[in-house]
Amino acid sequence: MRKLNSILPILISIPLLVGCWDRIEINDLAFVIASGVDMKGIDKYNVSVQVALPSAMGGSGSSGGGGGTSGGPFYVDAEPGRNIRESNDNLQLRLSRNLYFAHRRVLIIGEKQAREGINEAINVVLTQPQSRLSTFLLISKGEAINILKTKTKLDLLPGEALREMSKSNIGMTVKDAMQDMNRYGKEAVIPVVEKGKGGFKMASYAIMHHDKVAFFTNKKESSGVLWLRNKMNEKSITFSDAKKQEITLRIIESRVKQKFSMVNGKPLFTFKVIATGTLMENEGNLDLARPYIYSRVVKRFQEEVKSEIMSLIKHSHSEGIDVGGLGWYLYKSKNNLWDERFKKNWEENLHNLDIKVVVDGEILRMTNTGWNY
Amino acid sequence: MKSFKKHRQLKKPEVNNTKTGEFIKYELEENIKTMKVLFKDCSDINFRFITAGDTKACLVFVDGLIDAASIETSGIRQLLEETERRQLTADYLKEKVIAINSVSETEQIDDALNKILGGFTVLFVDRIDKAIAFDAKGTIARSVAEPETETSVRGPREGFTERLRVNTSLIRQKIRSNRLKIVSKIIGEQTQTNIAILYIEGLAQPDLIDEVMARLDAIKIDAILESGYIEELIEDNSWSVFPQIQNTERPDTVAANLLEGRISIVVDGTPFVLILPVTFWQFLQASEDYYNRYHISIFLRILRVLFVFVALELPALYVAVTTYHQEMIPTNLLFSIASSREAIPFPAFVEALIMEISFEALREAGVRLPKIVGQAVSILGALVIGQAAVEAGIVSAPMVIVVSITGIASFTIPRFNMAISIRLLRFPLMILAGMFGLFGLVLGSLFLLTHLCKLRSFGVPYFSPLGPLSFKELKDVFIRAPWWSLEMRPKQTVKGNRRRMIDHLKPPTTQRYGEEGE
Repeated sequence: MRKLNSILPILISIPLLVGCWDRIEINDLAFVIASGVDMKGIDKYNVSVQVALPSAMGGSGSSGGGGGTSGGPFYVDAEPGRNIRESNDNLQLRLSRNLYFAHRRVLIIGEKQAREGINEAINVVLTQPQSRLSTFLLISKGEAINILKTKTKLDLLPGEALREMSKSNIGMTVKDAMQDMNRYGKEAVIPVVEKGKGGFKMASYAIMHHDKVAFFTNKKESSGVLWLRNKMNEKSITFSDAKKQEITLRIIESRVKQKFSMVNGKPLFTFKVIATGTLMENEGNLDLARPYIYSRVVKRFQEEVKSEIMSLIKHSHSEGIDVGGLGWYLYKSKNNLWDERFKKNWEENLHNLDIKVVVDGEILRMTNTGWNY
Repeated sequence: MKSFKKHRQLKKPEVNNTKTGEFIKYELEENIKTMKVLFKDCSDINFRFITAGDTKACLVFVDGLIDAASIETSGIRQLLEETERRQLTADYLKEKVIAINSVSETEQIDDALNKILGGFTVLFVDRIDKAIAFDAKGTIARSVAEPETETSVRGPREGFTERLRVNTSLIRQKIRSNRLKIVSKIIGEQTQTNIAILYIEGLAQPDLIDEVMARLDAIKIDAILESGYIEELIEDNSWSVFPQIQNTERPDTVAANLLEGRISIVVDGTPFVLILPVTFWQFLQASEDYYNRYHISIFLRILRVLFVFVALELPALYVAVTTYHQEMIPTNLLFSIASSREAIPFPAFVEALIMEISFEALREAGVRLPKIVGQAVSILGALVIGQAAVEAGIVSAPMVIVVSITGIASFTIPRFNMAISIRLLRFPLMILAGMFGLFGLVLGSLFLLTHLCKLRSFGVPYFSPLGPLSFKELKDVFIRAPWWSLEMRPKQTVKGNRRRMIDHLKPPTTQRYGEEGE
């Protein structure tokens, strides 16, 4: 008992006296939900953050509504700096709450900066412990800060809307982008966000060449990206029949397999696409139960897929970009061959490669059986 | 610390020894005089002088403890009708006169005294150096009613009362076997409280019985007014917050435990019967688990285990996560917490402390008050704490939710004494979480876990069968396996003789009633 009596005061005073309570209350933090990086002169960044304003979200206790800069419960601010951290620190000087990046789910790189290189901008996500590697990466048409300032109709916070849209898109995270950029014979593909009516639009992709944007895809090439990235599930494809009557298929499952073979001493790369779909729209009222009609439609479907993929590959390969990751496939499966024959000048020789796209399409179900039976 | 050790070998001071050591004499006058001295200023002691033939006699009893009609019909009337002038003997009186089941004789004054105080009627007769005690008790007792602390949807509705014999008879009604042993003891120098130790011969371990007896014998105290006295005097670790002896108001619970080789202690004057040894998990089990079909029992048991964690850790987890690990909260949840905490003047830890303490106060107020007022208190409390505090911006709404879930969680624990232990322990955990975040919470939980694993209740590891792990026993811990699969009695308490039913009791499913077999 005496022993305990002598130890107890010491034990109690340790937690009280050491003063290392690194407790931070929620209302001492400024939660960054999205941030953007823009170029501002040479080697100078303009980093913008979108901070949620909980007080404007109308929780109980606070009177709700009101507040905010222009209506929405968020606040966008930016400050220049020589690197990302310095910009953040500069911004912090003007804020009463600590910037907290653990809930930043979207990182947007401005177009100008993206064409110069995004390495430095996304490296911060890796090195700063608060940041998540699962942050979605986007490239904006125009300045990133303009995207952050855009209000959306459906979501209170634009950052939330961006996150949801990125997720249902190809879901490119900072981690994925970094991996793709650092792999042999593989390039990153990053969704492009632009201002649209009532919010944002994510319809195209930035095809990267190392850490720089090479080009933005058009509509056809965008579909090619989805096919190549196996992200076509639950999405639709519309193509016209011979009589200009459209057919819409909802893809149930799609898979892309790469294959390599030597034909007459020349390398041949094959993309084999296996796709199954449900017939959603059948304008021509085609009776797919008839084999000859079915095979005609499926053939159109296969041609459509093939042309989408080919348009993307043609365009990228002509610019020396291995968008399909053929080099990475070789590196993994035929490493010796890659080292001996292809590693050197891979990008320069890309446009000479023989590429074949084989589509194995199938329509498994239909919602419209056609009335002319 | 030394002075709190149980079986200390110090010389024990005697507690108020009032024994006279005298014998009963031939002369009635002298005996009565002694008794009157002993019962000086005890107005409830009645001396009833009668003359049987020409022999003087005196009945001594405590007014209120006896049944007047019973004495009159079976004692006094026969004595008065005894007109024959001859020497009466104790045996004759015992066998021929007093028409009552329980009759005994004694030669000691002290013995007679104890009998009188125990509610017996003692007959002193002139020229007999013995006193005859017969049982004509007629105390006012509460009738057997539904136990208020352990109500059940399905199961027997009878509960123990304050009378020892009623209680033992309730158990005897459930176990009609001569192997159910009921050993009596008297503890308490002043109260002379009757205690019965119940066990089933052949199931309860002899070592355990000896140990319990030894611990009970070591008790020298002036009064035992409730079984709680005994519980605290014989438990293994007095410093532990966790109860190491179970108490119950239900005869079926006692019977079930006896049949699993445990021992129970019935104390006169209280409906709470002790059961030992126990494990931690027993406190999370209700007797109803064994009566309902096993699906619902499995669900309820898992629910309870889950809610023990909630009751213990939820406020601490909330404090830790909101003040140290904001990255752990899903973004949208974080924003709604943040928006409701925006106007709150206190840190989350202080807020939690205020709410938890006021909840405990509210509960305590509700328990002690009369039922009608108690309801008013709960309405008031719910309004003040639940709504007004949130609207005034003193407390945030998520905290109210956390506290109320914690409160509900603690009420899911079927045993009140375990529930209160868990409720107590969440305060230190909250303080740890407030100081060190999740690190502190984990540290506190680990400390609790090691303590639970170290604790023993009469030789049985408290955390068994989880620590030490025994897979076969687990079918009656987190789940309650169907009755036909609970073939063995628990390993911790029964050593040999473990099978309690024949093999393959599972009803066949393929054969329909009335159909021929193969």
